[in-house]
Amino acid sequence: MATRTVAVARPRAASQRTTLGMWLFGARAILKGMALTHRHFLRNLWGFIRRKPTVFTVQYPEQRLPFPNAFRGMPVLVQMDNGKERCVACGLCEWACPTDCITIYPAETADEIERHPEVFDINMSRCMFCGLCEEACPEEAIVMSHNVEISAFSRRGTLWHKDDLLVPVSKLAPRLEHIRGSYDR
Amino acid sequence: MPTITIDGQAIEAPAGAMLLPVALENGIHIPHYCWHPKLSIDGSCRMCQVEVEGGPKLVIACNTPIRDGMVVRTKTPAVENTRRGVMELLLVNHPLDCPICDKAGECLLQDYSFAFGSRRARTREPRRKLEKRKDIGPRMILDQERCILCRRCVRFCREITKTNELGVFNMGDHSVLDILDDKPLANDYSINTADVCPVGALESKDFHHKLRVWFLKKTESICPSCSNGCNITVHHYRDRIWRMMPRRNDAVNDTWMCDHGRLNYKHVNSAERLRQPLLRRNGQLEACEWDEALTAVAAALRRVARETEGRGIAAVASPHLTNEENFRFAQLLLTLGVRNVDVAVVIGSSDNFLIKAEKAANARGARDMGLQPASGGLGLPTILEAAAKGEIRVLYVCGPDLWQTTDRQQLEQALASIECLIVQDIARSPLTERAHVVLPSLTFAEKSGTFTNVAGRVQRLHRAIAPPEGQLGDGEIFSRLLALVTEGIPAFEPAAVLEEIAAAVPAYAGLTFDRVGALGWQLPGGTTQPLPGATA
Amino acid sequence: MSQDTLERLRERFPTDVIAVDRYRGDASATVRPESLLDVARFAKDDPALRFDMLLDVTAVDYIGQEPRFEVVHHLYSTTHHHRLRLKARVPEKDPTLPSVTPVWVGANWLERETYDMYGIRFSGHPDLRRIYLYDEFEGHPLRKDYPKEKRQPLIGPGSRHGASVVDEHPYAVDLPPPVHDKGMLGSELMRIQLGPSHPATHGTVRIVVDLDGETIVNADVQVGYLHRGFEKECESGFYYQAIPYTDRLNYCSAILCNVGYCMAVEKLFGIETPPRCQFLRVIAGELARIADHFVCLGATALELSAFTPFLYGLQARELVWDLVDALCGGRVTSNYIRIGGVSADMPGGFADLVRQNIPKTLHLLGEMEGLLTENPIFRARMEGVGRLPAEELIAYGVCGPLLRAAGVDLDLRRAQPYLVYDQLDFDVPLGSHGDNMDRYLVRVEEIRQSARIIEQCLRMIPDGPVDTDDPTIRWPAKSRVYTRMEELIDQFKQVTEGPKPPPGEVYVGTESANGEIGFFLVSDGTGKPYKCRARTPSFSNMQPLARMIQGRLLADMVPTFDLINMIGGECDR
Repeated sequence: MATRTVAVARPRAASQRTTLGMWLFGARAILKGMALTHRHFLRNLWGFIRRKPTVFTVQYPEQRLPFPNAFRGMPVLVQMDNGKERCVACGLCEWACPTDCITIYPAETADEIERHPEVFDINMSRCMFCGLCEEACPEEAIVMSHNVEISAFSRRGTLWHKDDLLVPVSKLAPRLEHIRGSYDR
Repeated sequence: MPTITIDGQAIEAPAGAMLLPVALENGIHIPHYCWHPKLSIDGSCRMCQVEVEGGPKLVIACNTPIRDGMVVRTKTPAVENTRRGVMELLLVNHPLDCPICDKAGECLLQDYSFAFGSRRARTREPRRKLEKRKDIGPRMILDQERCILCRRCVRFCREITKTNELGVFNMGDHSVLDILDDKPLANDYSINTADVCPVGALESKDFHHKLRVWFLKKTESICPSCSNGCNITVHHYRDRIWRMMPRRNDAVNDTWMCDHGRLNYKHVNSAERLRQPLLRRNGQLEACEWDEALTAVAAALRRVARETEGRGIAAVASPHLTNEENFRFAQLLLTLGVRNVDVAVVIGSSDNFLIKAEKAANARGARDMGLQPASGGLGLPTILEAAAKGEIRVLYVCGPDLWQTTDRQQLEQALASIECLIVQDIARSPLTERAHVVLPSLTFAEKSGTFTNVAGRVQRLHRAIAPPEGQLGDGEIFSRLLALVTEGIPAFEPAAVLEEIAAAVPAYAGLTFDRVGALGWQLPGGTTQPLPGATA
Repeated sequence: MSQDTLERLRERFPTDVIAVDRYRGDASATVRPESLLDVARFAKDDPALRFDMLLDVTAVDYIGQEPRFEVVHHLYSTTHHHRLRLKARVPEKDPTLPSVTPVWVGANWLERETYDMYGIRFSGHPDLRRIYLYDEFEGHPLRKDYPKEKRQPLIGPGSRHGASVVDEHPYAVDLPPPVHDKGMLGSELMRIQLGPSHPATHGTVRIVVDLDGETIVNADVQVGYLHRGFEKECESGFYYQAIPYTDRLNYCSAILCNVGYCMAVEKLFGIETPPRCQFLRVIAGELARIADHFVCLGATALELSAFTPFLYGLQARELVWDLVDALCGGRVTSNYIRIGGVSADMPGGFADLVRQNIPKTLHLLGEMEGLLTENPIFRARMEGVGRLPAEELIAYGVCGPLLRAAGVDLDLRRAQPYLVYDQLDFDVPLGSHGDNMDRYLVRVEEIRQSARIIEQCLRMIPDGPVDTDDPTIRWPAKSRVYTRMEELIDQFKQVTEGPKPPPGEVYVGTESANGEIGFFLVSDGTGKPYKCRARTPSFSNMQPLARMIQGRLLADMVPTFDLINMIGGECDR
C-alpha cells in the first residue's frame, strides 16, 4: 500500500492581506469565472442556433434516455405465449419483499401446471424497486421492467392487479437475458 | 440403566430401546424419513445412518438397539458423506415441484438437503413421469413423482386405521405408491397420511394451494368437535384459520386426529358469524349495543328470579364453552337461584379409536362446573315440557346443541309461552330467530381457557384469533351479567377464574394453568384412554 | 494490539471488568455499571489505550434475561488505531447508568438517543431528553416488547392533549437554559427557528437559535425529522432484506452503506469474499463517494447563491449515476452488495464507460473550482468560518472529511485497510485550519483521489468468481435454480429462512463519504438480526454544529451546515 497524506492547497493568503491585493486577486477570480460561464453560454448558443443542442439537459418527456440493461423499474409479471402468467404463486417473492407489498392468493388450475395466482397484487406505493422479488423467483415469472412512469390520481390507482402487471415475454427478452447472465455464477 | 455415549454426551436409556428415539429425546437430531414414533420400524430410507464404534460399517439408528457402553458418532466424515449420498439419490428422481408443492417450508427433503445435502446437483430436468394430482380419496391427493417411498403412509393405513388402502406397487426402480382402484383412501383418519408424509406426495385437498406455510402462526389448542379432546395446533394467519393439525399427546391422541375434527374450523371465520347483540323490538330482531342487550337480559333475569324465586328460569349450558366461562355462568345462575340447569349436547357415532359420541369438547367440564339440575330442579328434556306448560318464563340457551337435538315441533311448543328467550350462539339459527335477545358467542379459537375431556383430562386452549374489537367473549358476558345482577364489578381473567374453580370444585383442587401445561392434567378418578392397537 | 487492550484493562480493574471477549477479533469488555466512568476515563487517558474517540453508544434489549439491557459503547483511538467495545448491563426496574459525557462530550446525543429508544437513564447527563421522537411519544420503541405496528395517540389541536403544542409553547420547547440570556445593550434575545422546512436545511433539521442582532448566541440543533425506524425494521426482517434499507441511510452514497452492512454480516459468518468481489465493491464504493462529494460541494455553492457550480456538480453526478445505474440497476437506491458477494458482475463495456465518464466529471470539478475556490465572496464566506479545534472534534466523535480538514490523519482506508485498499495507491488530503474552506478543499481533492482509485481497480481487477461459494450464505445461481433440484431447494430455504449466522456480535467500521459508518450486529443464530445498529457519521458530525456557529453570524450557519454534509437518512436513521 502506498498512501500518503497531502496538505490541501488553499488560495493564496497573501492576496487577502492588502486591499489592493484583494481587489486584484478578486477581480482576476471573478473574470476567470465569468470566462468559464461565458464559454458554456456561447457554445450552447451556437448549438441552439445550429439546432444541434450541446446542453446536457434532456427535454423529458419528449426526449428520453435509454435505460441500461441492469436498470430496475417497476416489477411486472411475465406472460407466456398462451396468454397465461408464468407465475405459479410459489410465494417466494411475497416473502422476500422487504416492504410486504405483494399479495398472492394461490389457486388450483386444471392445466398441466396445476397452480397459479388467483390474485396477484402489488402495492406500488410501497414497492421500492429493490428487485429482491426478481432475485427470489424460481420460475422467471416476475422481472423488473424499465417502466417508471406509474403515477396515479388516487391511492387506489397505486394498487396494481395481476392483469395490469402482465407483460408478454417477447417484450421482456433483454431483461430475461440480463437475469440469466448476471445472476449466473 | 444402560449408558451410551453419543457425540461425547453420556446418555442413559432403557435397555432394548432403539438408538434413534433415544438420540431424539436427548436433543441430538439424527435426520430420518421412514421412522415415526407411533409406527413400526421400516429401515428403508437409510437416512439415519450413524457410526457405532466397533462396527464394520454405518448402521441405521432406527433399528439398532442400544447396548451399555455403546459409543455413537453422528458427525464424522463418513456419516456426512453417506447423508450426502442418500440425499442425492433421493433427489435424483424428485420433480422440481417446490414452487407448486404445498409442503414447501415444512418439507423434510428441503430441510435435510439444505443441511446435509450435496448442494450442487449433478443431474438436471427432466425427471421420470408418473401420475400427478391423483385423486385417491374424498379428502386426499397423491403426487406419485414426489414420493420418496418411505412407506410411512402404508404403515399408517396398515397399523393405525387397519384399512390398508395404500401400498407400494412394483419393485426396485419401478416402485410407485398407489391405491387399488376400488378402494379409495376414505377412512376417517385419511388426512393423517399427509401429516406423516415427509414430502408433498400426499396432500390434503382442504389445504391444497391455499397458503404458504411460512406465513402461518401456530397456536396450541384442543379440538372442539368431540369429547376426546385431541390436542391440536391451530395454524392461522391474519386472524383466519387455514388448517388444524394434531399435536402429540401420548395420553389422549398420540399424533393423530380424525378428519372431521381437522376440517371443522370453517365456522370460525364464516361470514355468518354473529358479531353484534340483537334485541327484539317491535317484533323484529335489531342490532344493538352491548350495554343495552346485557341490561335487558339482567333485568329480565332479576325480575323473574325475584317473582318466582328462581323457579321460572331455565338455563341450557353449552358444552362448547370453556370451564372458566361455564363456571361464571354457574355462578350467575346460583346467584339468581336458578335450579333448572342442564347441558345439551349432540350425540353421534363413535369408533374405538379417537372419535367419541359426544360431539362437543367440554360437556363433562360443563357438568363438572355445576351446570346440572340442582336439587328440585329440572333437567332436559323436562325443562322443555315445563316450558310447554308455561312454567318457565325465561329460558337462557347457550350453544346450538339444544335445537340440534330437539324435535322442531317440541321446540316450538316449548317456546310458545317463554317471555324472554335469550340465545347465546356463534351464528343465527332457527332458535335465534325466535329469541328476544341474541348474544354473539366466540369459538374455541378465540378464547383461552380449559376443556375437560370425556376421560377427565383438563387441557388448555390458547387464543389463536382475535375477535373483532369490541366483541365480548362469553366469559365477559357472564361476568357482566353477574355484576349487573349483584351490582358488583365484572372480572373475567381465565387464569384467575381457574383458581376460583380450583377452590370451589373438589375434583379440580390445586389446578392452575401452569399445572395443566401443554399436555393436560388428569383429574383424579378419571380414566386415561389407551389407544387400541397403537404401537409405541 | 487488542490483546494488550483487554489485558491492560483487566490488570487495572481486576474486579470491575466482569468479562472480556475477542469474538472475530473485536476486543470487548463487560464492566460493572458503577465503575463505567472510571474505566472510561482510564480508557481515554492511559497512554497505551488512548481511546479519545467515542464512536457510538447504544443498547441491546435482552428481554427475559435479568439484567435486561446491555449498554454498548464503541471506542476508537486516533493515535493507536485500535478499537474497544465497553459494555455494561442495567436492570429493567431501574435502567440507570452513569453518563460518560464528562469523558467524551460527544456522548451527549448518543445517550439521548439510547434514552429515547430504550428508556435507559444516564445519570449526570447534562440534558437528557428525547432526540428523535417527540415529547409526547409513549414508550420506547426499540424495546423488544414494543410492537412495530403500535400506534401512537394524536397530539396537537383536537387531540386529547387539548391545547395545541404550539399554543402552549410559542417558541421551541424544552431547550436547555440559554448560556446567555441578554444581548448587547441589555436587550432580549430573539429566538427564531431555522427549519425543519427551510431551503437551506436540506435534509430536514431544525435549528433553534437565539439571536443578538445577527449574532448567534445559543443554538439547539434538533434532528430526527427523518427518523424511520431503520433498526426496528431490520430486526423484523431477514439479513438480506435489510440491504435495501441500508441504501436509505446515506442515500447520496448508498453503495458505501451496503458495503459496510454486508461486511458486518460476513464478519458474523467469518467469511471472506473473493478478490474480484472486493475490487467491485471498491469501484462501486468510490463511485458513490464521488457522487456524495459532488452533492456536498454543489449544495454548498447553491446555498451561497452560486447556482451554476451546483448545476455543474449535478451534471457530474449524472455522469456518475449513469455508471452506477449500469452496474447496479438503480441510481440512488443501488441495492448492489449482497451478503457474500455482489448482486451482479460488471456488465460488458463497463470499464470503457467508466473511462469515458470519469474524466468528464473531473473536468466539471475543475470548472466548479474555477468558479468557487478563488472567488472573493466564496472565500469571505468560507475562510475562518465554522472552526473547531481538532481535539474538540475528536471528543465529539467527528470523523471523515470534517476531521481531516482539521489536520487529523484519520481515514479508515489508510488506518485500518479493508477490502483491497491496502493494494492501492492514493493520497489522503488534510487541511490545516479546520474551517469551511479546508473542508471544501479536502472534498475536492478526495474526488480526484477516488477517481485515481477507480482507475487502478479497473486495471488490477482479477478474473474469478464474484461471490463466495458457501451455499449457506449466498443464493444459488439463477439459471441452475430453474433446472436443478438441489439449487431449487437451496433457493427456497435461503429465501424463506435467510442465511443464519452463528450467535455473536460484531462491529465493522468502514470509511463512508462523511466518516466512519459502522454496523453493530448481534446475531441470535436465527435468520433475523437480533440487533442491527448503524453508527452513522452524520449524527455525530451534527453534534458540534451548535458549537461551530456560536458567536458567528446567522449567515455563517449555512455553509457550515452544508459542509458537514448531513444526510438526513444517515443522521436520523
